[in-house]
Amino acid sequence: MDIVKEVIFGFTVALTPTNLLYCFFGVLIGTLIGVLPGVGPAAALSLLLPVTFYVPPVSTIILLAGITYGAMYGGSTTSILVNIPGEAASVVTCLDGYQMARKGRAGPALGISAFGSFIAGTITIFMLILLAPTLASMALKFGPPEYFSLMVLGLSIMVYLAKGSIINALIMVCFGLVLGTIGLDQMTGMPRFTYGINTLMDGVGLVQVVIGLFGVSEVLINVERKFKQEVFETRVKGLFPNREDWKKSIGPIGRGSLIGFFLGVVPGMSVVIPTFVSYIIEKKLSKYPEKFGTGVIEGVAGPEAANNAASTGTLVPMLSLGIPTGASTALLLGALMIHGIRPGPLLIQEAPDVFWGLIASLYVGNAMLLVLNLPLIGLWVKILKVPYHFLFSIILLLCIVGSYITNNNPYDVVIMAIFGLVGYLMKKMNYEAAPLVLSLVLGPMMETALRRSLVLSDGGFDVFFKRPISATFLIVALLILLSPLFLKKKVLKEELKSSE
Amino acid sequence: MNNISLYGNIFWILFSLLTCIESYRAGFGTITKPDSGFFPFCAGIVMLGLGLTAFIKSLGEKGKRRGGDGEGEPIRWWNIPVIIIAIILFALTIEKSGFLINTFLFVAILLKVVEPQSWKKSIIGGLATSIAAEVIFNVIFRAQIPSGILGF
Amino acid sequence: MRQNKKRSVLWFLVISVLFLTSGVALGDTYPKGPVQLVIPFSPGGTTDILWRSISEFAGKNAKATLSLVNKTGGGGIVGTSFVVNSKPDGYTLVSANSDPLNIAPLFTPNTPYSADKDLTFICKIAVFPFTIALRADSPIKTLEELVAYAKANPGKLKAGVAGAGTTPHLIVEMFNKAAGIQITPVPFGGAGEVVPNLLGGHVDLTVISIPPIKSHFLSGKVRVLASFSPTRPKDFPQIPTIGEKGYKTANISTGVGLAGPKGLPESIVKHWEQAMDKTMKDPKVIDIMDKLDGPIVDFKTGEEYKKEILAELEGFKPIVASIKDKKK
Repeated sequence: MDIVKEVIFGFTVALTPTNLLYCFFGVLIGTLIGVLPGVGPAAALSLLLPVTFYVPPVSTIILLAGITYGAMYGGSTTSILVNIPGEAASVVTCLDGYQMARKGRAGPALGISAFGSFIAGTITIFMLILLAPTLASMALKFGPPEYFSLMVLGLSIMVYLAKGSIINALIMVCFGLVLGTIGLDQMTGMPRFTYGINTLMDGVGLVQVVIGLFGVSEVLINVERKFKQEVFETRVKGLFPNREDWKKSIGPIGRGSLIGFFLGVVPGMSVVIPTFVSYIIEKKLSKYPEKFGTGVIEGVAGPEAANNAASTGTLVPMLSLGIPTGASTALLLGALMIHGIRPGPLLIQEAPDVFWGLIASLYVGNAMLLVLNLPLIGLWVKILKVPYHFLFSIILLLCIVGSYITNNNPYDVVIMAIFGLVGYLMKKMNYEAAPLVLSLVLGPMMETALRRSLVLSDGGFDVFFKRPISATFLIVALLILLSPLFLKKKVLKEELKSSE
Repeated sequence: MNNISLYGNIFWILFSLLTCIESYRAGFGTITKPDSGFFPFCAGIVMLGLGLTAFIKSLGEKGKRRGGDGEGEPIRWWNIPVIIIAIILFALTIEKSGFLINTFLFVAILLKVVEPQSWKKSIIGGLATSIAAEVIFNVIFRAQIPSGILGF
Repeated sequence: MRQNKKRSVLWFLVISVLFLTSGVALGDTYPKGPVQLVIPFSPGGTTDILWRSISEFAGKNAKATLSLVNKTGGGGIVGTSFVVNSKPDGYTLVSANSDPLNIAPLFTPNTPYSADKDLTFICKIAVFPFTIALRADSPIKTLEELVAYAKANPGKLKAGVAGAGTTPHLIVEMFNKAAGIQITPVPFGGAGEVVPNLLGGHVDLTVISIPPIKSHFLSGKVRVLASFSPTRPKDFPQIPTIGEKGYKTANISTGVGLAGPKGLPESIVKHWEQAMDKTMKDPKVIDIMDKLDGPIVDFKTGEEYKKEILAELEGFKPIVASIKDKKK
């Protein structure tokens, strides 16, 4: 019963009026900043970090938690409304969220995204309390070979994401892997494929690629023809998810929470991968997988729950091992260290008020997000009523600013424009952008994991098969890659049967 | 419309060949001690295989029309280069002329060209957008966007 | 308690007003917006911990918002060259660790910058020594046992290091040479990435500075065999130095400083030099550095730091050359 007592203690720390005010402020700023593409939670946090210097530790964390969740949600908002993923973690939300908006269902999409995030937050915070120590030691079982195999598995499930040709999806995967190698070699620091272009030294920016492939190319497709009708269905059908939406979404939200949390625990997994995994699993489980990508609510609910859950998951290694696994957790770590608190195995004993206050404040941040954003949905939906022949220029402007402010480099905008054109051509030729984005995220991690594994094993490839976790991943990946062959036969047989 | 996917596949074959050559030049290393070029080389080889498969497949296919193409209004293809060039010009001049001026020109020109509006509407739209954007990004969010010759 | 509460409400209001108005209030003076400080190693490593602990003080003294960005890879080359290629406007600075400047270029041919020509040094702030550590459940209990095991099993022991061409990497190679053994260094993106791989048993040992492993050392999960420093660590006198054990050659540490791309205006250099000088003299910062148990304050001007780095570079040249020779 100790835990219950501790949790209640945590809430008494978090729920003072001042702290609630901080939380509200954090969520508000976070949401506003998150709506700006290119500024993810990490950038938002670092912008506001100096403020936290004057604030007691628990309030700092509450403020930061509010900003993280707010910015994450803000990123989804632009994905749904105008097909600009604010960051890579909301790419998947574009796939069905934007299509829902075009059908006049932006409200339910935004609503389920907020509710899904909240539910995922609730589930995962309890998991964090109960499972953190066990999970932390599990995450340690992942060495370079396990990472490599996990990445291989991650890429092979792309087969299920493909709407059209599997070969095309795999070509996109390879294209992403090649793009990911541009820049300085992570292992040696040698420049590769940069051809003397300074902007490419740091690699092809993920934010620029994503904004180009989704935001810009969508505009290009829309202005290609004279607008016979508006791009968006103007008759808005309901601001909130209806009963049927809920029935469809509750499963995906639950699964998304679990997937997000467990993948988030693994250091280096990032928040992007869980969203893809969740989407693919929902598509696989669905009775109408062919409808994914045309605006089904499951495709929004699952990934949105997953990215929220993953950001809670990343706290496990941070709090129990002192290992920050991404930019956001590193900032949280920094905020704690300013106050002389060092996360690690001793945190719960040394600073219980911070530990339980943090857990409680995460939850308060989640709840605040819901309270703040539900009333905003109506406002966001109104944006879509702006005629498209005017709206398109604002969308493009958002794309430009978003890709510029990540590095203040005008050539980043040029890269975005190029990928806008690439994305347009890809749409014309039936290539999908999502596999490209995932492999661009996974590629660099996969390469370093491969090369590190080979140093560890003195060059033996058997290392990937000798270690049980790694071997399991590879076998599953192989089964997935081969499954279309069996599936096709089955489909053929069924077709034959029905024609008889 | 078989042509379009045929060209696509030829592009990927050429692209993967180029990747392989360039990766080899970056240094392949050995299979037990891979260097910078090893990983992109492997990706290139797989891509080449996929491209060839797709190419052979697309040769075999009869002309299948994609749904949606060729329906409705004629394609206004010139809008695509106009937008891309406008974005690139915006980027390349922003450090000299500044955010406010660029935004105004960008929005006004696109409104006039892409889905032609009257001059009045285009200019008002450009002005409104640029002032609003300046306030939002430079004043509220303190983003470091160059102010250029106007100096604020 | 009550006063505390009142105070924090007040701060809250002040801060909200400041945030909303600061965009308008700031004039033409540098810095106008947030300054990006690139940390060329992973979060959770010593360099990262050091900057995150003092960045608020530094930011306050420089009247700037310091936004810390980790760009890892290539033993610090990736992050450093990002800054080398950025605009010298004072809005992109780098944590100038000595190893990507004077060790990594010796291991990596065609390093895309030179310490002599492509950077403007602002100052040096600290220096940190390293230790040799392994999991507490390892059968190897002392440095002698480690050497004996390594002699019996050449090439079998794998040491996680912060990156190819970092100080820990050089230390491993120098220790190998001094003891006549062969431990294979495995490069990661920074010490922050090494720690989970050490705890998970994916590498056998690591050469690392104390801050990233401190809590694991205190909780008994990690054993430290020796320290590569002239004297025993102040708070952990039970750790012997490598010199006591009879290996005098591997005694090098990493310097940390601040630098920008070449052509950084003199006024900005002075601005930061003064701010950092003030920061490193702040009793609160000295207290923080004490608690970290790794970095030791060592303030030098940019010119002095540059000279030191270039002198070290000359010193490392023959060592690295002989290591490379032996490999062939």
